[in-house]
Amino acid sequence: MEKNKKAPSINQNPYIPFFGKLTDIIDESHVTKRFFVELPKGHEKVDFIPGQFFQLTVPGVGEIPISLSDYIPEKKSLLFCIANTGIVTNKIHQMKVGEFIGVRGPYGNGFPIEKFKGKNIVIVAGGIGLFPLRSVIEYYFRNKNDFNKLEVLYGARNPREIIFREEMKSWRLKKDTTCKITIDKPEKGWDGNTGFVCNLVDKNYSDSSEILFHCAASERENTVVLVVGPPVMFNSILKKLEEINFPDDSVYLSLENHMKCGIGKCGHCNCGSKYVCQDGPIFSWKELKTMEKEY
Amino acid sequence: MRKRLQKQKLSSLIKKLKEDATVIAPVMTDKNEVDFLPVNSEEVILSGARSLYSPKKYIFKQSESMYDYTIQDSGKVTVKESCENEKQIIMGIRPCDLHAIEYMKEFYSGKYKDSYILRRLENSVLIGLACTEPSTNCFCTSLGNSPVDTDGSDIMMADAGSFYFVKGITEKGKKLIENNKDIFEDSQEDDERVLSDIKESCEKAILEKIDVTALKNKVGSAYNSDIWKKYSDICVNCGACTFNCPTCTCFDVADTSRSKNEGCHYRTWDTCQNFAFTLHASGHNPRSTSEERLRQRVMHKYQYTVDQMDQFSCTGCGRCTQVCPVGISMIAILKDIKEVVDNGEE
Repeated sequence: MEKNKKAPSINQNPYIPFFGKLTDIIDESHVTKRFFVELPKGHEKVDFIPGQFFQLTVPGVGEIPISLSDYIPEKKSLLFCIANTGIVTNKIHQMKVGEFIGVRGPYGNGFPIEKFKGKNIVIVAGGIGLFPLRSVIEYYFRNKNDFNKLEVLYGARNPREIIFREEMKSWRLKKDTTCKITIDKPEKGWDGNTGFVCNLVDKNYSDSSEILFHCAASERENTVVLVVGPPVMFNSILKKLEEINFPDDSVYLSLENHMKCGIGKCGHCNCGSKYVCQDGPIFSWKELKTMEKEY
Repeated sequence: MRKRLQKQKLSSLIKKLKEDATVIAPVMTDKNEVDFLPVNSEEVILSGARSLYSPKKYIFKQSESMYDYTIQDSGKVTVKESCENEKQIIMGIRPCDLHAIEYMKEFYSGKYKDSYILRRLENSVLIGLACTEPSTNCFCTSLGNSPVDTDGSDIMMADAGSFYFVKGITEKGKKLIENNKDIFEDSQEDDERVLSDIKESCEKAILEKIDVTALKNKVGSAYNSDIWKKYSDICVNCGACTFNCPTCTCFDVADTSRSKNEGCHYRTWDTCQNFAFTLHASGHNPRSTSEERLRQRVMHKYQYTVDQMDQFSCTGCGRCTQVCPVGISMIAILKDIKEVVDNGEE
């Protein structure tokens, strides 16, 4: 995708954002919201690979990296799902429809989605880790003929923090798609799975992954697993995958090292010889094994 | 292009250069330290060891505005890119600092180009000065560099007693000499010998020597060794080493508002020695200990940039050792690494 692009001149300043209008804001869970950003004239076309991220700026407050949940070309808009966790995200949560937010990107490598063609995709997400994976799921449905089955394994802290509730209902109804949800601890009114999301990739768990454990062995061999969540979560997933000797070149993870510039200059996300913002944020498990454990 | 500049002509050269550029050179500050500052003509110090502070700050500013923003009444936001186009001539840059500027130039280029730094480099003429006297912490030869390297300079100067031997390296440098040709004199045939003389005497005077080039691609094997703890136990994480390092390129980005509707987006030098440098929003920190952060600084300079750019990002200037308040010596660390590497190879 990059090879056709001309090298930019030094007058094309990569740090300067453009400003897009917030056209819709929807509450997602009690700590997360969806923000639709309309792309201004001259910026309508976005060359985007699922898993990439943007730098969002609130003037006077700061800039943060946020992964793209969806790009909707027909509406010329971007969808960002954002949890209220820091100074900038808190300010974004206070913003209203009609206000403008700074955008630059997309940055990072994204998932090597071409490599997934003809395969089953198992998505394992913890908490808001499902936000970046939504772009993969949308890509899957838009290009369904290129792929085999899809399974979404999702873990939330509690029922109030479950995101994409409505979507999951509709994903479930689609052909070749399954969704499994678990919450950390049993709770009144919840009759689904409880325990951490790593249970869903545990061969001994009753409601474990369909594709990995309840299909023909040939299905498992033709599967890629995409994992997004905090390090403590993905390490437990990797442990389970290790137990079943799942090939490390068929597992992809998104790292979320602290980033400031998004273009490999500020040094914050440096992890060994890699800059997570540029060489990542998506790494295969195989690559991760060769990297310093500084993520 | 080879010339002579009589020492008594230096001030008239600076005067002339000041007509259309800011001239920056090493001077004695009121704190009794040698530093690079905009100069008039008299006070330039082109002798002795390298300055305490490198001229990095004139290429990669300690703090700079990246753009100004204005929020209009309609809510629309306009930004105005900060764009410096002032010409500057930096004089008296020692070869270690020239190497550092070369490194920065490459680092800030690549797929995304740092417009601020590259523009500033375009607008700068870099006049190098062969290093006649090492400081006690200098170890440039250990990195395979020499006190008379010209890489990165537009013009190279060398002290030849009563005059400076001057060599035009780049077109930009040659043009500057050409434009001031009445101040320079023609050089004599064996003037260039001053460079080899300086190289010989200066290299002899360098106290610290360890062959770092032999460690190329091997430093990483010390990652899991216990040498880091030995130094991190005394390290206070002040970051002075990184702020004084001529090749440290990290920065923090922030916004500041001047009024409700106006402000700027700016950056400042940042240090990997700070706990918050890698702190995730979740509270998780990939380098939460002093040991990991100290290792990061060393690994980055001697292994990671070798992987990324096939070069060390250390020039052997020794400033990190010089400014460390608890006396952590980079040479000592490198010697420990060498021991670990050698033991591993046995």
